[in-house]
Amino acid sequence: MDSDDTAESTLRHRTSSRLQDCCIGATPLQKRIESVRKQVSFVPTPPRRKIPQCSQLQEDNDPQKVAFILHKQWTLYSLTPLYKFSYTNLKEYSRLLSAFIAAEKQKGLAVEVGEDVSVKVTFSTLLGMKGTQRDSEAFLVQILSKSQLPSENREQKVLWTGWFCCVFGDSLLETIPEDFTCVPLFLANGAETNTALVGTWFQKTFDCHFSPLAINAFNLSWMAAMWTACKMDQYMAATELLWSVPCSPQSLDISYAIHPEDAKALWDSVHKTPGEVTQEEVDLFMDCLYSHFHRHFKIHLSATRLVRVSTSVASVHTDGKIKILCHKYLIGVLAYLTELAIFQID
Amino acid sequence: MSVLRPLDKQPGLNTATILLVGTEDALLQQLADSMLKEDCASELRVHLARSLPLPSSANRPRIDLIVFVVNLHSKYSLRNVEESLHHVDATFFLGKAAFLATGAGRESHCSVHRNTIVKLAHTYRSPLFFCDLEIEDFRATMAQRLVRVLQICAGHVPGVSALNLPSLLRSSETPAPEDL
Amino acid sequence: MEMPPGEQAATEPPDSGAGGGEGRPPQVAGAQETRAEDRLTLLLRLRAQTKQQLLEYKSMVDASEEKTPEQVMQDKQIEAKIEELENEIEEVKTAFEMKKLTIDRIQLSTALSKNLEKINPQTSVLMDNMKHILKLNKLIMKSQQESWDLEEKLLDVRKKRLQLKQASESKLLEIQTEKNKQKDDLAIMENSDKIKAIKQNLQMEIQITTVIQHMFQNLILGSKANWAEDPALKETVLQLEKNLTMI
Repeated sequence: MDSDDTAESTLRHRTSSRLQDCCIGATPLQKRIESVRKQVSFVPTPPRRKIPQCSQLQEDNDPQKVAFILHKQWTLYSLTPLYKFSYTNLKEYSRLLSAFIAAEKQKGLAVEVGEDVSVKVTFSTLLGMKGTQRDSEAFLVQILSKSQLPSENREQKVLWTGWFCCVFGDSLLETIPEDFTCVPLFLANGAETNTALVGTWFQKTFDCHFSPLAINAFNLSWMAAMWTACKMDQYMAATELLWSVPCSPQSLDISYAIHPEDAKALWDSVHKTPGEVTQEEVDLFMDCLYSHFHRHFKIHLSATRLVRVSTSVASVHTDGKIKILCHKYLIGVLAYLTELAIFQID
Repeated sequence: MSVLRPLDKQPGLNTATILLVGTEDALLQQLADSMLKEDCASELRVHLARSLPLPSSANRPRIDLIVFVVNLHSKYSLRNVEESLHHVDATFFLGKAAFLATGAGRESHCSVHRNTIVKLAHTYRSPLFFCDLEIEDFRATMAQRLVRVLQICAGHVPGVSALNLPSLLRSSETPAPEDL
Repeated sequence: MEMPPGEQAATEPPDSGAGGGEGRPPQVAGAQETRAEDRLTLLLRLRAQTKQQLLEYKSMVDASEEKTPEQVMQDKQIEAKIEELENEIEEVKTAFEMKKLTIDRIQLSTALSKNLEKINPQTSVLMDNMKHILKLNKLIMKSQQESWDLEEKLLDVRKKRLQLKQASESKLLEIQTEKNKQKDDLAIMENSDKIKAIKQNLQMEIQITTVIQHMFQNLILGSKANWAEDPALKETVLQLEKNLTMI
């Protein structure tokens, strides 16, 4: 269901007319209430956020590692702070975790720590993958299969990858006791059994707790708006939104693909405060899409559930699967995910 | 476009009428059934409406309580309720209206932020209930609660008026709207 | 924002059931039992209901008829009145909150005890929790007791320190007074007549002695004896050189 070129102008028109509707349709009570609402802001979540800026990646990051992160599907988890985690002990952790995984894989057999095992675990830091100086350094954990033949040692196959990070988390985490390291966001790629194993080890060793990070439709629409707002040199993919219609027994999916430039144009017509995205703008943006769709297909998309957002920046599914496509906005995407993870562990 | 007013008709003898407004037809129907199952000395009437205003032609009894049901999974249901609110007289919000938010249990399905509905209820100074209507036990409890509230709103409980309800239903954790 | 008429008709069922059609008829439930013994109670209840409803209508009528306060009162009076009313509201609110909290607590404990009776204590998580809480409470109490003891000890130490300080302060004061006393004594002594007389005498004696010294010296020099040769004489002469006022 690609939107045609005319869609953009109609959408723009709708935007203005809707704004008028809002003003005309209000009863005196509603108006007074609106004014009250403006005074009253008791929302714990920030009603406005910054548009992800261009690359805020610090210079010292490894382009190879960044490239490695992009274009992979990651499953999101939130993580409580790690107790007594130390960046100087990464080698030790590699050894212990390798032994743990080996032990779990051949349960019942005695395993000597550090002895030759079929898998190998590596810990390494991802330098510069953070928003401020106070953020904890990101680090990467990989499980590699070890070939039994020494000659083929060079070619190690990556079985599983997971990484921990915290981007602009410091403003939200004001009080973290000294012995704790906060990396609230965990992204995993690979077999779920391995994720579970690593999770168990981390839980045992650092007294932390993993929980899957699902992204509800409310936050998805935020992502849709924020990522549409991102300036791109070239668009790699269409902006596509996927809705799930809650009808039993089988669910029905509606896919809504828009040309990214049209989406950007719509956003620009909605967007007022430079550099920031507000709740009202997000709502208005989505409402415009809804009303456009309703005009053509007589379906109220607002009654359905947004389950996936994919743009040139990233593609994310409501069950916590994300694929980041654009290097430029990596930090911005991670910052928002960190925020969500922190809200979940709070 | 008639505005709904409270106390504009004579009350029916021993009858209490509730109006449930919301887009979730099936859930409203189930809630209505649960309410009618409740043991109650008054004669209950449950009216269901998708949206307001109600057609002016119909001959209907006095409405004692309006409950706006919002499904947090659907923005449409919120918009619908917001639009319906324009057709309700302000005096209804002196204890004879309430909001009911369903679906908060499944956080990952939510399209509407919980605070949005809290804000809405605050601006209209009306109590807000959270209840997952899809779960039968919860629904039954909510039905029981609504029946009690309805009886008060209909003036069937001597000594308690609907005017007392907003302050009585306010939970101690959330401060009163005027404090915010 | 109006709804299209078609949609409205479809979504809004006729309320009273008079229209029939596709709408859902209103559902009626409740007690229509007309057993003889029930009738009286029903009538009584209806009376109470009607009274309550009448009261509500009356208050409604009163509220709409009531003159707005601006017409009756001056600005200042209104302000005072508002403040008074606000205070009153606050008081009532606090009282209400207190009562509510109490009721909440009572309800909770009742519910809890009911639940405890129902559930088999061996399997109940609730029981375990309670036990855990009790254990923690005991621990807390113990720790509190310990901290109290420690605090008491600390207080004792502080008290002692204070006492010592006070004691040293009084001692210092004593020393000070003693010193002052001595000074005073000295001053008194110096100023007494006896001392003055003695001093005068001394001065006189010194002068006489000086004169005698000079006399002897001149006598020796006048005799033209070489006093430097005889060590005994030399000593005598040099001794006469001494300035007596310096002694």
